[in-house]
Amino acid sequence: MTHEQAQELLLDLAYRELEPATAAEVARHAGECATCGPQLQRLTSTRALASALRESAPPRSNRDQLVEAARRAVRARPERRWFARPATLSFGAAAAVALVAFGVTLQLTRPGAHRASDEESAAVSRAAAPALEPRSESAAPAPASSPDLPEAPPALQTAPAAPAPRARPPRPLAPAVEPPRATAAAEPPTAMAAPSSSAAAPEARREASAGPSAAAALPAMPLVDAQRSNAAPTRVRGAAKARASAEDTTSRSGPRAGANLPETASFTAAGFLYRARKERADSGLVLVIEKLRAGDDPGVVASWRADELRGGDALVEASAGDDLRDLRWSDGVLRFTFQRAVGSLACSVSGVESGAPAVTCRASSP
Amino acid sequence: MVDDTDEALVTRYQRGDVAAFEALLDRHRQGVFRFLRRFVGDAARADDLAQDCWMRFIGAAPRWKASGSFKTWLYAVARNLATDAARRTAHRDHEPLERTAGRDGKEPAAGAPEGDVLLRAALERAIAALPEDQREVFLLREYEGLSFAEVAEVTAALLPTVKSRMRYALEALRRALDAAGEVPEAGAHRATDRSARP
Repeated sequence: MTHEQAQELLLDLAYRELEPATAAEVARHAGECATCGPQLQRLTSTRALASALRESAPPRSNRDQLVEAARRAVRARPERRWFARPATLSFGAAAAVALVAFGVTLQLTRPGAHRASDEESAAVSRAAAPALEPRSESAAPAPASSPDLPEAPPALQTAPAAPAPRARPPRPLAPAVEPPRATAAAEPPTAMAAPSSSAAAPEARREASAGPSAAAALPAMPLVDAQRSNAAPTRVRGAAKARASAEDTTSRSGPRAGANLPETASFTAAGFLYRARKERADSGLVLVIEKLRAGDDPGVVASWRADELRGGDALVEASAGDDLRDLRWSDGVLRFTFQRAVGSLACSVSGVESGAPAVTCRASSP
Repeated sequence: MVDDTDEALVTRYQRGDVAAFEALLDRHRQGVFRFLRRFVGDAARADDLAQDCWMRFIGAAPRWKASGSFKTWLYAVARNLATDAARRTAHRDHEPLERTAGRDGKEPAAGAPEGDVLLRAALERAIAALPEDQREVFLLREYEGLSFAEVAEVTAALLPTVKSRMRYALEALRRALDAAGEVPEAGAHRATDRSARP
């Protein structure tokens, strides 16, 4: 082992991160080297000094509150909708394949009935289409066709809501406990968006050329940082089935979903209505992203308390099961894209810093 | 339950097992709080942030996929919350650390050697004075037991960058403690026991 190699590994040796054989080699070198020896001694003695810091125990009451919050969240978890269950989808796919195969068999065994069986097969395929919508586009980033959100007309601006109380102690847990629910919730769910863009930007600048972002490091619940927010979107391929109703403030509200606030924006795709809606809760303004099917309860894809929405370094929970493919900030606009729909919902949040958040949304589809 | 991995516990909690959540909480609550307290330098604020951190996990748990490390995810959330909080309150005047030292939820034990109390106060000051990127690396590696690779994951930095920050942090701490008269002379040793690692 060369001196340079050993010097690079002194820190690892001091923190016992080396394989035994390598550690022995580095230690042997340090024992003989006039430079590495004192360096290693300095590292280990500084570590010894640092060990003097006492443990800091958080209060016990905090633990009990959190356990209770976890218990309530479990109780309040919505049943996943049948169309969102992977098992259901698999079963549906298998059933559709079987039906198509059956139709083909009929076609082959019934001379002169070719035209009829073609239509039957097509009908079966069409019937299965909503549940079998391919997810091949799931790897694609946000649609390039989604325009940036322009200034919304005054009619769409939600009146500022009272800021959520942040006083302590005791700090109320209840408003932030409930996860997304299928019905209009008086209590907002906990928001995944946390740190602001201001928090992310310097780090992103520092590491801009230095490797993986937090988003890459956290595959299941990625961190959307400034790097990712600025990533160039790619074109979304596939037939444009969606019909957008941008900045919709009409009375078209979903069954049992109608809060007192107007619907903000929606588009339809593959038999579903994708909608951004605002609710008022005790703790403030809540933005709800949901998808509905005619005659069905709305399935909440995600929801956030408006005063916790800030651009930039938002921590995002995305779920294929709930059909939310991606959520990203760009130029102050929060854009939602979906696994099974070509189209997006884009919402801008303002006034958070002043304690009077307002949300404006619009839908877009090719 | 004790032997379950974090990821197994998360899966159990996803299925509704609140005891699994409690096990996760007991396993990491103190570490997360300790990291936050030393990062933001204020026990009350750290308490708030730790609560936020766990609430975010509760909210995200149904969608968790066990393809990554729960621990690094948790500390990444904590770190981002702390970074954000630190920036939001950067303009505020902080209480001098001389007054906050020893007030981290536990008073110094009666009979604790005076030298130890002084060293802890000096350490608190020195850590608080570290640049943020060095401070987070030092805290995560030194006190929370994350490997350098895990620290790199949490902080979204390259491994060599993390190690470089750690070296700078250790050097800065050493200099600060030396200036405070807390570094023993070569060959000598303080009366207090430094062999116990947290």
